[in-house]
Amino acid sequence: MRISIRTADSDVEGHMAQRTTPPEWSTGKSPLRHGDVPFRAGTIMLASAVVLLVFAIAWMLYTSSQEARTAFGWDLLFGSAWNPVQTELNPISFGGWPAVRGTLLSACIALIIAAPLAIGIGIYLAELCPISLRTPLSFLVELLAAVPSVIYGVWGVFVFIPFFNTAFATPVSESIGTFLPWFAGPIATGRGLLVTGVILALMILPTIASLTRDVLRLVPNTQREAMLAIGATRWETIWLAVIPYSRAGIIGAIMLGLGRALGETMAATMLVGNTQRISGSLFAPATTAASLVANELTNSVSSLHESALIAVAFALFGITLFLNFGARLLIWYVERNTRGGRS
Amino acid sequence: MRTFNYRRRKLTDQVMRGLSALATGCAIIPLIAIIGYVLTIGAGAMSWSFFSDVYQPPSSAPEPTADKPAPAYDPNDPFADISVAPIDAAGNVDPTVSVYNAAPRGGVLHGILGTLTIAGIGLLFALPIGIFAGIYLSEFRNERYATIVRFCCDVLSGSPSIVAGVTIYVLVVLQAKQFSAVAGSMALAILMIPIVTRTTEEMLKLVPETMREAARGLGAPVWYSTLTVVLPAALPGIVTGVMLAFARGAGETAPLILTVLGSNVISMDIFKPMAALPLLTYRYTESPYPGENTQAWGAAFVLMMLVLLMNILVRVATRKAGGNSR
Amino acid sequence: MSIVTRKIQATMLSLAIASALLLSACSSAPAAVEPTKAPEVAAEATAVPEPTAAPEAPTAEPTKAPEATATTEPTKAPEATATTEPTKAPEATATMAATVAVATKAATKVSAAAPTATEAAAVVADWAPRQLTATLSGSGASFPNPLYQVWISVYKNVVPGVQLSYSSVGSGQGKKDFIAYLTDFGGTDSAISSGDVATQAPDAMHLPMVMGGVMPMVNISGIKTSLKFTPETIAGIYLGAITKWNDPRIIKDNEGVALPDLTITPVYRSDSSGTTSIFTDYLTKVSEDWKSKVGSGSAVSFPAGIGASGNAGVAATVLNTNGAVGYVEVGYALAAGFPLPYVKNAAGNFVKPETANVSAAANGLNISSDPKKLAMSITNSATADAYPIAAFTYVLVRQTTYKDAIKAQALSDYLYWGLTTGQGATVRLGYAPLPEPMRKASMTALKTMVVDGKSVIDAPVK
Repeated sequence: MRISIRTADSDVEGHMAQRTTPPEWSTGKSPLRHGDVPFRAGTIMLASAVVLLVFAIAWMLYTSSQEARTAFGWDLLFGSAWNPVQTELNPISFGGWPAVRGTLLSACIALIIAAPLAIGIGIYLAELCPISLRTPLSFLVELLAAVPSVIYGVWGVFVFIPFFNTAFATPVSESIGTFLPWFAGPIATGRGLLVTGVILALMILPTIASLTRDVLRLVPNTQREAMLAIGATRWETIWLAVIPYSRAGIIGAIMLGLGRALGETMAATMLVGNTQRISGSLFAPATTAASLVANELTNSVSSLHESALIAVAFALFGITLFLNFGARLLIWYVERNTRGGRS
Repeated sequence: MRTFNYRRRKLTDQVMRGLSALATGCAIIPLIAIIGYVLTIGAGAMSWSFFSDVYQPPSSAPEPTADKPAPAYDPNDPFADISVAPIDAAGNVDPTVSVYNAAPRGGVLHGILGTLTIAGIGLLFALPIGIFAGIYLSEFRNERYATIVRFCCDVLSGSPSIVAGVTIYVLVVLQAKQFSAVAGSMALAILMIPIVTRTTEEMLKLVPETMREAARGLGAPVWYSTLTVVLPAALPGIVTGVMLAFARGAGETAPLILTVLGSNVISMDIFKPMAALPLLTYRYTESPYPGENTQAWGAAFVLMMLVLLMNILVRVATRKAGGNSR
Repeated sequence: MSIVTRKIQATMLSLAIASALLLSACSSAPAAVEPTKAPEVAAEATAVPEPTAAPEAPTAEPTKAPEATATTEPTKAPEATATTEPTKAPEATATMAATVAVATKAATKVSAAAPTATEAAAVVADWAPRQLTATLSGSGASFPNPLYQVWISVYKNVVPGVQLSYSSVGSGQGKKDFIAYLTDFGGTDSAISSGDVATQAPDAMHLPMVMGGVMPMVNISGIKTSLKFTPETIAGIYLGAITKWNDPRIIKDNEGVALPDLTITPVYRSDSSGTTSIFTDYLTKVSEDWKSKVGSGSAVSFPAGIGASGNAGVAATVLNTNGAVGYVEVGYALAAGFPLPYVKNAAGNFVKPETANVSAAANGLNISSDPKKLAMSITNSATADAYPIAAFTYVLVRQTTYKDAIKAQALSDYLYWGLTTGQGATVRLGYAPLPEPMRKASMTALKTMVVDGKSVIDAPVK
């Protein structure tokens, strides 16, 4: 009996072994045989929903921010005055620089703190950790990556800020802060960019760490074995053979972490102080783009205000899109070049 | 010279290995501290009324208990037990007991029900799209269009949650002229879809090629083998993805601020504003009343338990799945 | 060798984890500590009401209050008792007056004006809300939020079928949601701009519900007494011109108070807010500097300070920040056990935001007969004992465009109940009841609400 099977890319023809009663669907007459085309079409359709969603978001952000973009142009990102309400002295203007600056600074602080630590954790988990600890530690790291951001916010407000104020912010502002404006006091509520940055660092740590670990595990064992065989220590093996091999992937992981830090809303809203004013000190309250949108969109006072906030969201979307694109490219590059790593 | 070099190398090795262990330790301390704080302080907020009651405005009146129930409603003095500072029978004010140090009143039942509803409906939106997109990515993985889908999926998973909120706010809330639980579900669905898609894809990829070949060798069409052979084999893994997506959605706050508005009562009408646990956590954290702050910890505790539970279930499930397919 | 390193790593890690566990175990301690901190703060409140008030604000109480009584009491109170069931009513009024008096004592002193209004308001025996089934959602001002939440929780006992929900999101969003038809009713402390009324919400009515005062809530550790503020010092602080608590301009009004050399952290609202609108409206009236530099509005750009969301957010920030000052509705400060400050009014007297003084701010109001024009500013009142930063807070309802008659009936019943029985809760929560003429005007306006040309509520205006 000759049957033909349609697969995704080619028609495969083959012979089936003799059977006394062939299954109904294999006789060539059953309607089941014709399911493949609609099946593929169906999956494509639903998969297209994902694509459509991305385009819908981009299109919505683009058109809804049109009004503000034509009115203010690049000032939306780089202008420094954010006045939603007309007053005698201050005309309406939407300059998002305080928010953009806050976003960039807090994300940078987060990255500076988190990246080295996270890579350390990744290395430890992938290369050095005793087998008995590996599973629980990996689980813990993955669990922490899943903790909702509002919980980081609660912890930050009630526990971390009081601790940070007495243990770090006050002494630093009184010593270093007297000559370095970045750390200048006074410490009022304790909410500010530095605190936000530290909490964001905690949030992106697990993300970067688990991705780094995954990337390191993709490195083929032959790399390690070759290095060890010529008498290298474990660290030398890691530093000279494993990390160079997966460098692109680690950078990708960091970029994904950066993306998360840039777009984080709740923890930032709760910790940053929500102040539309640029202050030289990292201890002073500030704002971030995401928290600006979260705070003001539902109570925007005019359609121009709403449009300006959507423009800020648009910029945020653009930046994270770009970062994701880069990061995925790098991770994909590593994956393509490393087949047969250890699992 | 040689020994020195060897020693130095050995030392570097140990120092660096120690440092990476230290990094792990240092980073894990605050992270464990977060979980610890939430679990210990949050557990202190637990009580029967926390789970069985809804929002009660702060008042200096004591929390009604079984032996001392709340006074019955008196139409002549409907506000008997409500005051910023309590008044005793003799008409004197007791200033040491103000709202400020009154015990937390009421509970978060409305938030728990709201979160389950909103995240549940969100999952209903996300499941068909996520699973079928995952099937497409895995079973037709060599098509060029799959790359585009995969990229869009990554874009979705990487885009800030507030963007999902803004999108639904503009496209749904402002159009429908109504804050609603469904709008919140849609926003959460945007965040859940990439998780479901990617896990489905990964789990389907883990199903050995031999199983597909065997099914096709028997003459089964692709759709039949996919739905009856490959998908069931990967099901435990997909379920984990779904659970993770649920946990992620249940914990999201930012999109809900823009879409569901919140509520102080149990409202099961999904086309109306609804309460949600993360929203309550946020609002209660910003509250001046310590009673509400305690409830913020309590709500955080419930959210944390949800995440913990889901992750542990996932752990158990993947272990089983790993046994099947790896 | 590798065994040694592994051991080192293992110990390091277990040390780290152990210390983390220890840390988290200790964390139960702060939770236990927090409540103990409270009595101290609450005790501060005791000092506030009675003794200090008497010598320092002599002008406040005696002069104006009787006049206010005269205008309202004789006409209204007897009528109320007359119409009600003979046996029950006097008793009810009596208990009500008693509780109100006691409650006012809690806040501070009693003036005759406050009880009169509540007395009349408390009893309308020939009216009861209809037992309807409806779901009503509203959003808006955080200024009246504590009161509205109490009303809602009590109203559940009166009409169990009506499910009300009010989200405290700020007047800005309240107005916006209402205009966009996202909610059934709105709460706001500032009127919808005339432009928006004309174009987007032609049938919006602002119904005054209650009066309240906005006060500077001050947290300076070690200082438990009521501070005195002048318009100049408040404007100076929020303009960033006065940056220390021991600034001579503040000390001048507060002789005898040991103000520390502490930086002032002004806290303002980060969301679009009616409280901000009241506060800046006041500052614009009293300070030329403020008028030219900042102006008034619901979301102005403050030259100094930090933002917090909602009255609750401002109160919480002040509560946790030494040296902070924030403008909040009186009830929020009372609830937190904070002393009420004195603010110098237009007549030159230092006045506390007590019920009577807030009520006095509405004296001599010229109430419009147009139900859509009830919103008015009463800041910086010329009355001698009036608290200067006082305001009405409004509920936004639609006069003609409700689609669902049941819903409109349920809403109007609730609001009518709030304007009558509900006024009894005001004083207990740090608000002031509406003055009689305004309360009646509000009820009259409420009665103009129609669905399909049919009136939705038939209730006496009293």
